[in-house]
Amino acid sequence: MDFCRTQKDVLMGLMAPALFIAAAMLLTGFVDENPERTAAMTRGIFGPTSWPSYMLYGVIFFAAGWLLQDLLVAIWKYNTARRSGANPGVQRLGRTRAAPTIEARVLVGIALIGAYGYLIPTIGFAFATLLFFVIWMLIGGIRKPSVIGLVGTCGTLFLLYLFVKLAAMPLSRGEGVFADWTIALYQFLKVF
Amino acid sequence: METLINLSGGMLTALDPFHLGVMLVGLTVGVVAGAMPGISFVNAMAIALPFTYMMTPLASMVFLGGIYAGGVFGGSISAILINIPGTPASLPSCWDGFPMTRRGESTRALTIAICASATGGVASALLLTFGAPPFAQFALTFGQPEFFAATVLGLVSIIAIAKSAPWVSLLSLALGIVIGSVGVDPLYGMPRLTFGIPGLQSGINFVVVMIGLFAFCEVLEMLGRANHGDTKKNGSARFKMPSFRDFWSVKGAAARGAGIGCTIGMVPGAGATVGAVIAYGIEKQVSPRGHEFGTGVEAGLAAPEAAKNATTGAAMIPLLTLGIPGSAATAIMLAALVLHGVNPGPLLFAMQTEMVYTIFASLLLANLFMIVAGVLVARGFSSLLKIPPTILGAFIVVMSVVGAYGVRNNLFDVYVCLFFGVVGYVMKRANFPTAPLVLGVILGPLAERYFLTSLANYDNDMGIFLSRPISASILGFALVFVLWALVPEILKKLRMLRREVDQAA
Repeated sequence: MDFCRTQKDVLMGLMAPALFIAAAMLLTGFVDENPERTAAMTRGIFGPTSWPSYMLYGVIFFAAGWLLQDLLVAIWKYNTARRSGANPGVQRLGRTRAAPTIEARVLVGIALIGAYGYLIPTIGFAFATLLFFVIWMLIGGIRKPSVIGLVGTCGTLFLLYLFVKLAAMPLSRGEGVFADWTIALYQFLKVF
Repeated sequence: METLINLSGGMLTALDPFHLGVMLVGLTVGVVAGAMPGISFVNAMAIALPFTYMMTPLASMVFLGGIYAGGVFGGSISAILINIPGTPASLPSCWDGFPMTRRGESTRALTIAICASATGGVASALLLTFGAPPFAQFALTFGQPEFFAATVLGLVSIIAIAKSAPWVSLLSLALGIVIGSVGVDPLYGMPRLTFGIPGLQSGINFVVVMIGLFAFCEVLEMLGRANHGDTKKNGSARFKMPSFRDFWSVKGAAARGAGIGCTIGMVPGAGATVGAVIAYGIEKQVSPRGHEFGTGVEAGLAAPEAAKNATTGAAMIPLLTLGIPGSAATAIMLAALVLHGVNPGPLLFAMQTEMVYTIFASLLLANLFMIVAGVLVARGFSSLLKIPPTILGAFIVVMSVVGAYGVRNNLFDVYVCLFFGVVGYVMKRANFPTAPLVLGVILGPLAERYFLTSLANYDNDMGIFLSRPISASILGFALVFVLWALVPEILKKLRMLRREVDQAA
C-alpha cells in the first residue's frame, strides 16, 4: 500500500488493513449456513466450514501484521522527519502516487459495463453491443459521428461473426420483439 | 529413446496443416496482444478461451500454447520501441532496450530480443519434453497428502517472490483462498459464504476472476487516463531485417537467462516477470559491463528476454504432471483442458501420450516460428499503436463479457467478473498485489480438496502430511520459501526499530 504525502493519507493507509480485519471478522459469521448439519458432519477438528473459517482467520492475522508493520514504519518516518527539521505533515513518505486519472469517467465506465451485462438478456447481444460501443466511444471522448457509426456497426458485425457464426456460442437474443429482431438480423447476416 | 520416438510422432501431428495453422494464428494473436499495451497475452488467452470450445482438446492447447509463447515475447516490442512494456514481464526490456532505440539501434535491439526469446523458449520446450515424463513418473507415487504439499508449495512460493511486501502478499493470497472456497464444499456438499445467493452455490470460477482482474481492470485504467479519445502517436521505428551476428555477441547472457528462466518457471506461482527480473539482476552482477546496465547494454536486454520465454515450457511441467498451474497463463490452459474433460496429472502421460508430445512439439515449433512472427509484428507495430485506446477498450470489454459468460453460459458470472474488475482496479490504484489473490482462487480449492480427502483417507490424522517423506520434504521446501521471504524483512524492520530506539535514547 502506498505511503502517501500527508499524515491524513498515512492514517487512511492504515485504515485499509483495519477494514480487512473488520470485514473478515464479519464474514466469519456467514461461513456456516447450517450449524446443525455442519456439527453432524464434522469429524475431529475439520468439517465442511473449517477451511474458509481458518482462511478468514489467516486474513485477520496477515492484516494485523500489515497494520502493525505500517504503523511502526509510519511512526519511525514521522519521528525521523521531525528530528531532521522537515515538516512531517508534508514529508514525502514513500513511493510516488499513480498517474492522475479521471475517476468520474471510470465510474461511468463501470456503470456502463454493468448496464451492458444487464441489457444483454433483455435486448439481445447484438443490439446491446451496438449500444455499448456507441455510448462507450462518446464517454471516451470520440465525437466524430463517422467514427462512432463505422466502429459501432462494423465492430458489432465482426463480433457477431466471431462469436455466433465461428464460435457458435449460445449468446442471448433478447426478449419479446428484440428476439424477433435479433433472429431477423442473424438471418440477414447469414450467421444463424 | 522412447521420448525421441514420441516427440517425432508429436512433431508429425503438430506439423499437420490444421494444427500448424492453429498454432500460427495463436502465435500471431499472442505477439500482437503482447505488443499492445493494455492487452496482455493473459487477457488474450482469457478472451480466446471461448474459441477453444469448438476445437479438440489438442487443437485448443496448441492454440493457447501459441498465444502463450508469442505473447510472452510480444510485450518486448513496445518496451523496446516506445518504452511501454506490453506485459509486466517485459519491464526489464525497457531498461536497456529503449536506450538502444534512442541511439538509433532499434533493429539490433529487436533482433537480440527476438533471438534471445526464441533461445529461451526452445530451451524450455526441450526441458519440458525431456524433463516432464520422468517428473510424471515420479508424480505417480504421489498420494493426496503429496498433492496437498505440492499445492501448498505453489501457494507459498509467490510470497517468497513478493519479498518487499510479504504481509500484503499473504493477505492477498488468503483472500484469494477465501474467494475460492465460496460455494458448496468439495467433500460434504455444504454451502459456505453464499449469503443465500443461488449463483454463488456453484462457486466463483477462477477464469471469471482472472478476466475481471486483468481485462476489465486494464480497460478501466485506460478509460480513466487523460486525453483518452485522442489518437495518440506512440512513435514508430524503421525496421530492417535482423542479423544473426547481433545475437551471437550476447549468446552467454542468453544462455544464462534461459537457465534462470527454466528454473524459475518450474516454481508454481513465479512466472515470467519474476524470471525476467531475476535474470536481469544476475546478469548485472556477472557481466563485465554490469555498471553500464540501463544505458543500452546488449547483455542487459538478452538475459531477461531469454529468461521470460524460458518460463513458458517450464511452467507447463507442474501443469501437465501435477495439474498445478504455475502462472495465470497456464491456469487458463488448465481451464481449457478441464472444459474439454481432460484432467492433467501423471496419468495424462500414460493415457494420452500423443496429445502430450504434440503439445511439446508445437511449443518447440512455436518458439522457432516466433522469430518470423516477431519480425512481422514489429514491422507493423507502429500502425497498430495508432488505434485509439477507447476503441480498443470497447472491444476488450465485449470480448471479456462474452468470455466470462461462456465459462458456464451464465450471466451471473458476467456480474462477478465486473465486480472483480472493479476490485482489481481499486487494488491496482492502491498497489495491492493481485497475483497472490489469483493464485489463491486457483489453488485454494485444490488445496482444500487434497487436504480434506487426505484426512478422510487417513482417519483424520493431521500428522500424515509430515510422516510421509515426499510430503514432508515438499512442506519443508515451502517453509524454507516462507522463511526466505519473511526473515530478511523482519530483520530489516527490527534493525530499523533498534536504530530508532538508539536515536531516541
